[in-house]
Amino acid sequence: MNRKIALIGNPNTGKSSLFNHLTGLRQHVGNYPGITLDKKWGECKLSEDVNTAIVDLPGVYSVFPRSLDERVVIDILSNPSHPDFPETLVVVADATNLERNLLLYTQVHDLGIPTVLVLTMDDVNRSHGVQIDKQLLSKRLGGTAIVTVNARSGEGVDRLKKAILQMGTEAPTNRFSATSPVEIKDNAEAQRADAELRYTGIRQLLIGVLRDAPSPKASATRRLDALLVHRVWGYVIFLGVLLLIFQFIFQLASIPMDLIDGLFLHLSSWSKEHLPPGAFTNLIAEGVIPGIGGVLIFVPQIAILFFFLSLLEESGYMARVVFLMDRLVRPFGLNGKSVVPLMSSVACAIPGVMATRTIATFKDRLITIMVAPLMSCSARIPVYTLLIALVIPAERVWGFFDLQGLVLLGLYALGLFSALAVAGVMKLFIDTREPSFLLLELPMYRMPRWKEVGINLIEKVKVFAWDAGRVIVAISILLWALASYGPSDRIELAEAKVNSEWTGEEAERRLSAVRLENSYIGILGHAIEPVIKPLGYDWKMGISLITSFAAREVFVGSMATIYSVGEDFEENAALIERLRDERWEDTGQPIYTIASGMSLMVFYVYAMQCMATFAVVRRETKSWKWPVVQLVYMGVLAYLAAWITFTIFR
Amino acid sequence: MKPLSSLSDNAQAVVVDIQPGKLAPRLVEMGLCKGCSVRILFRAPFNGPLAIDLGASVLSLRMDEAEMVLVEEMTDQA
Repeated sequence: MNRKIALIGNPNTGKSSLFNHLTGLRQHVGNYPGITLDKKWGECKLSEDVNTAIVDLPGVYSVFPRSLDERVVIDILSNPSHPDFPETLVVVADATNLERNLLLYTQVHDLGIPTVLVLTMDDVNRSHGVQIDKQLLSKRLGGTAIVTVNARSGEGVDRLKKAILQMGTEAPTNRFSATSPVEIKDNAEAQRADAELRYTGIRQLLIGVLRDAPSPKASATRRLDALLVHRVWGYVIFLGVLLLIFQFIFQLASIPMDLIDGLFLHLSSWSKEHLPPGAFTNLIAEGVIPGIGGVLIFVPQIAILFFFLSLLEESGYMARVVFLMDRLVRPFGLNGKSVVPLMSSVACAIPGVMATRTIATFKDRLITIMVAPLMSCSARIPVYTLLIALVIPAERVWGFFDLQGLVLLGLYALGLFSALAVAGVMKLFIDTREPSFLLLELPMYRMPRWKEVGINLIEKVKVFAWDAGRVIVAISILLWALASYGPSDRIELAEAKVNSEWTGEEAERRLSAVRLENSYIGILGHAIEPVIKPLGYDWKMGISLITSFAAREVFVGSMATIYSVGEDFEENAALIERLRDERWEDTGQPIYTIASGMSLMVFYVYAMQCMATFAVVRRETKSWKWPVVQLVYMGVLAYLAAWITFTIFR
Repeated sequence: MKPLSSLSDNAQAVVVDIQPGKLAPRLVEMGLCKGCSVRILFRAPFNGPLAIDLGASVLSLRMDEAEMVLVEEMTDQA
């Protein structure tokens, strides 16, 4: 690495595509200290013997920060001793909107960094008969190198590399404004006056540069908008798009998910058979392998969801969704950009939380992250299905509504309304001195660039599997250890008792049960019984509540283990039968009633029973504070709501 | 002179002033500055955001954001 380069430009200029063309898959994601924004950099071979590091700065309209995260731009560019300070700055400008794009160019130029100006979308200009006199523009800008690049096809990237190689390191001497951006970085009024002054200068220097400039034709976009943001059809189409995406997620994701599940079960038993027996093998077979499996199982959902989200983003449709939905969610402290992440959370909160990155305002983004896990995700379905079959009679209401179906619908609605209500309350408590603005560009519709979609998808999967995955594996090993070990020889004594009374398969099932019961988690389950008894739960449910922090659906498997019934795939018939017989030791009353069952379901609506979400929230907020706050508030809500439910139905 | 938020759809207007505040420099940076010609393209229902055509780009802003922008409507003769 003997040079440092940074890319900067307005949003929607093709800057990210250009970055992808320059670096291919040699990209890395890291942190800027103190902010939640990811730092993206990559390696680029400029010639046979010159390698460079390229930093992709966030898409901005000016060097002045408009959100907490964007301040990284001026921090880097105004400080030559900053580790990311570039020797050459590549400014990417949309040739169809030169006036606005050159504003950023003149600002960074005045910071005194040698710059190359890249014009994208010049093909669009040419197709409209607009010509740019690049020589004249270069001269008027003070001799800046100008390269036209087609960010879609990559045509011109080689010319850009050559231009960068030929760049000197001496700072430009001319200035477009007498005021340096550094002087006015905290003064909004001065920034505005300076921008207006710069525009005046830009208009001057563009005279004669732009030739035959009819107003840009955007008729195809206008015609599409007439339908896609229509006050009725716009919403109908958005709903249709959502349904389609969910169809794909549920239909497509289940195939690789089952494969991953099976593969890791197989791997686990294989390593148990082939490694020497002992604590280490158990750690590998029961802790590490299922832990990694528990990370990878989410990858299909994340990949499919981000495939569609990138499509929506790339095509320009996402901005229209934000436009349509903003007013509807604003009373709850949410932003139009919160809608798609929240909707995604109905499949799984993990991609939902990761999708909040497009929300520029930290407060809006944080609120969205905090309430996303309240949306009923697919992992709750096995829990709800078991409990509904157990305690809700299969009756019809008013002749045609299926009662069990109504309860399920009610649980989904409860999740949605709670998410909105909690967001409304949080709006009042989270103060970040950052005003919430909508203010976004509605770009022209265009065909998605498949390479972009692919690279975006790979990046999301990498970030999840590596950054969040490590926390998930660590927690699952911890949970495994707590469920497999107990104090002194408690487990051995209990095992000996079972072995003396039972044989064969029944002994195996009972052994699993007593192992769990006498483990640390089992003891913990016993210990919390006084706390959860007001909710209608016994210690066995307590154990399952603790183990299902790994993931909600683990609840069903844990119950099957504790009650020593094999897990079956015929709608848990054996488990349900066994649970129906379960009675309180002191009163002889059934444990599983409508009251305790409903209370348990409501508990699962609210409780953050998902270590993967916990890990992803930590990754996205870059702090332990917010996942812990989330865990606690959701736990308190779960307890209170479950208690109220139990009290009402008893 | 009236706020951009009360301009009728499709009417051409020129930006005369933007009220000072945190929003003002952002609007200017995004191309909405004094002397620009603007036109309201469409609005979201329930007093939601509006989309304005700036010629080279289309911006969407909330009603309270649009109130900060003062415009002069252009008559057909002008």
